Amino acid sequence: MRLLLVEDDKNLGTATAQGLRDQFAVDWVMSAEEAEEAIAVTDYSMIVLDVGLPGKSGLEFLENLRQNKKEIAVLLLTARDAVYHRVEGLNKGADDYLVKPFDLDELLARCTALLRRSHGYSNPTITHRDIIYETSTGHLQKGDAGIILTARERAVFDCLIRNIDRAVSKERIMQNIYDWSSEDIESNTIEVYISSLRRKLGADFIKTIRGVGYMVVK
Amino acid sequence: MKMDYSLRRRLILWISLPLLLASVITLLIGYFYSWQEIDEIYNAQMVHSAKVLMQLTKEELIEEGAPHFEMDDERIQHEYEAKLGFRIWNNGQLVSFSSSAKDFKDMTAPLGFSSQRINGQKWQVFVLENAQHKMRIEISERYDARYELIIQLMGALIVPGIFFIPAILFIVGVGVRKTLKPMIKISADVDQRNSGDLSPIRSQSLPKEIAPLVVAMNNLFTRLNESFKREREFTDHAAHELRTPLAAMKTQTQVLMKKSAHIKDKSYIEGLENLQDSIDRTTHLVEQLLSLARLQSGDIQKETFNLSVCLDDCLQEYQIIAKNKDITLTKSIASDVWIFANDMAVTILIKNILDNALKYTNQNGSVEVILTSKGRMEINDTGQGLSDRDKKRVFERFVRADKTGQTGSGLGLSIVKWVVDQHDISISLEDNRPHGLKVILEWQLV
Repeated sequence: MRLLLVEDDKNLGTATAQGLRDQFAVDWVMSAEEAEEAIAVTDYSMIVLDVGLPGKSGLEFLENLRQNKKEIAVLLLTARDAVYHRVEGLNKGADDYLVKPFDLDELLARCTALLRRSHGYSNPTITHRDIIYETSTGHLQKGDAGIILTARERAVFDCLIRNIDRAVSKERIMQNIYDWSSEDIESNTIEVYISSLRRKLGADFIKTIRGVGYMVVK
Repeated sequence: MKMDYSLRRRLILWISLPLLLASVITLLIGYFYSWQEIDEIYNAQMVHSAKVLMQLTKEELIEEGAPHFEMDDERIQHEYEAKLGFRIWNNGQLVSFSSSAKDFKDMTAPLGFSSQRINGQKWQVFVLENAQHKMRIEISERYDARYELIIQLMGALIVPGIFFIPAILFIVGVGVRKTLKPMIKISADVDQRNSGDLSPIRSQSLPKEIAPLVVAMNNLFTRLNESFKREREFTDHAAHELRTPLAAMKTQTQVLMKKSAHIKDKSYIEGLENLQDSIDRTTHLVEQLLSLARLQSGDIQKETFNLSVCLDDCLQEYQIIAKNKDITLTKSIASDVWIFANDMAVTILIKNILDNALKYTNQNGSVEVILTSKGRMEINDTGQGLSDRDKKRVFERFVRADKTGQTGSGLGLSIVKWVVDQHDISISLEDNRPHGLKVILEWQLV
C-alpha cells in the first residue's frame, strides 16, 4: 500500500509520515503542486491531504483530482471542524476527514478502512484456503497458529492477497512497499520477501508467473 | 443612569408657560387701558352733563328770577339710571335733584372730581359752581357702572381663554408626543436588542434633529461590530493555527510511544504520557476558546427543539467516559421537554457541565442527571463540591476552583454562563449531600 501525504507543516508532516510508515509506504510532499507531480508518476492507493496548504489549497487540488476522474481515496486533514467546512470537503470529493489534532491510531484505522472500501472489501477479514487475514490489524492466521510477518513482508502479502487470482507485477509490488525514503531498494529484495512468505505460508501459496510477476491462486 | 428630566415635559412647559404668561399680560394691559379709557369717557360725560344742567338752570334764573323745577319723575326709565344722579343748588338752597340722589342729604363734595361714600356705595361726584348766579351743580355716578363695564369687557377676554388655554395645552401635549415618537421608537428598538446585536438602527424617516444621533450611533455600532468581529476572528484564527502544531506534537508523541514500547525504562514512557496529557489539555483549551468564539460570532439562531433528546444524546457520549472511570452515571429524563433555544449552544452548555461533573467525581462515585417535565435539570456529582466563595467565582473566565490537579481550561463554566445569559435559563450551584456539587438549571418551556 503506497500512500501520498500532503502536509505543509514540517513537524506534523514528519510525525505523520513516521506514524503511517508503520503500515504503509508513505511519500510526503508539502504542496498541492508537488502532489500533482507525484500522482502523475506514481500509482497511489490513497492520499492523506491537508486542507490548508500554501499556494493551491487542498480543496482545489481535490477538485481538480476529481475532475480528472481519479478514483483514488482521499482523507482530509483539517484544522477547521465547523459543519459547513466538513460538508464542503466531502462535497468536493473527499472520502473521509479528520480534525487536527488527531489520534494516530484513529488515522491508521481510517486509512485502512478507506483502502478496504476502495478495494471492494467491506469485510475487514479476508479468508483464503486455511488462511485468515485481518486487513485492519495485519493479523494473520494459518489454521490455528498465528503467523508473524515483518512490516515489509506484510506489505508484499497485502498487495497479493487483495488481488487474488490476478497477477501482480514486481514493479507494482515495489511501488507498494517502497517510498522515496527507502534506501535498501535492490532488484532482488522482492524475491527475498516472496521466498520468506512461501516459507511461512506454504510453497504453493504464491505462484510465480514468468515475465509478469506473482499471483495468489484461488 | 440618572434620569434628569423629561424632554416631553420640558417641551410642554417651554411652550405652555410663555403662552400662559402672554395671555395674562394681555389681560392686564387690556384691563388697565380699558379702565383708564372708561374713566376718561365717564368723567367727560359727567362734566358735559354738569355744563348742560348749569346752562339750563342759568336760563331759568335769568328768565324767571329764581329756578323752579318740577320734581323729577320717580319712575326709572333705564336700569342704569339708578346709578346716575344730580343735585342743583341756588343760593345754598337745594332746588332740584334726581330720584337716585334723594338719599344724599347733607353730603358736601369739594369742587371738581371727588370720590364719596354714601350709604355704603362709592360714588364719583363732580361739582360745578357759578359764583355770579350763586349756583352749584352736582353730578354723581356710582362706581358700579364702571365696574360692570370693565367686568364685561374682561369677561369677553377671559371666558374664551378658559376654554382655549386647556385646549391649546392638550394640543401641545399631543403634538410633543407625536414629535418625540421617533426617539421613543429608537430607544425601544435599542432596548429590545440582545447584547450581541450591533446591527444598525433601521428607520424609514427621521427628523433632521435626531438623524445625526442615529447616524452617529449606527457608526458606533458598525465600528464596535467590526472590532468585535476582528477579535472573534483573531480568536478563531489563533485557535485554528494552534491546531496544526498541536497535531504535530500529539502525533510525534504517539509515534515515539509506539517506538519506545520495547524500552524497559519506565520513566521514558511516563514522560511521553505526561507530554501527551499536556497536549490534550492544551487542545481542550483551544477547543473551548473556539466554541466561545463561535458561540459569540453573530446571531444565535434559536429554534424549538426537544431538550430531552438533546440531553440523552449528550449522555450517550459520556457513558463510555463514566465507565472508564468507574463512575455510575444515572439518568431520569422526562420525555418531550420542548424549549426555544440554540441547540449548539445548549449542547455545549450540557457537555461542559457533564465534563466537570465527571472530571471532579472520584472513582466509584456517581453522577446523577435529572430532567423534570417542568424543565428543572439537575446534574449532581459526588466530588469534592465547591466552597460558597468558589460558587460565586467559578463563572468568571479562567477561574479554576479545584486544587485536585485535574486538567481544565477554566473556561467551561464561563461558557456555561454565557449560554445561560443568552437564553431564559437560570442556573444555581448547591451542595450535594453528603458531598459534591448540584448544578440546577431551570429552563423556560415552550
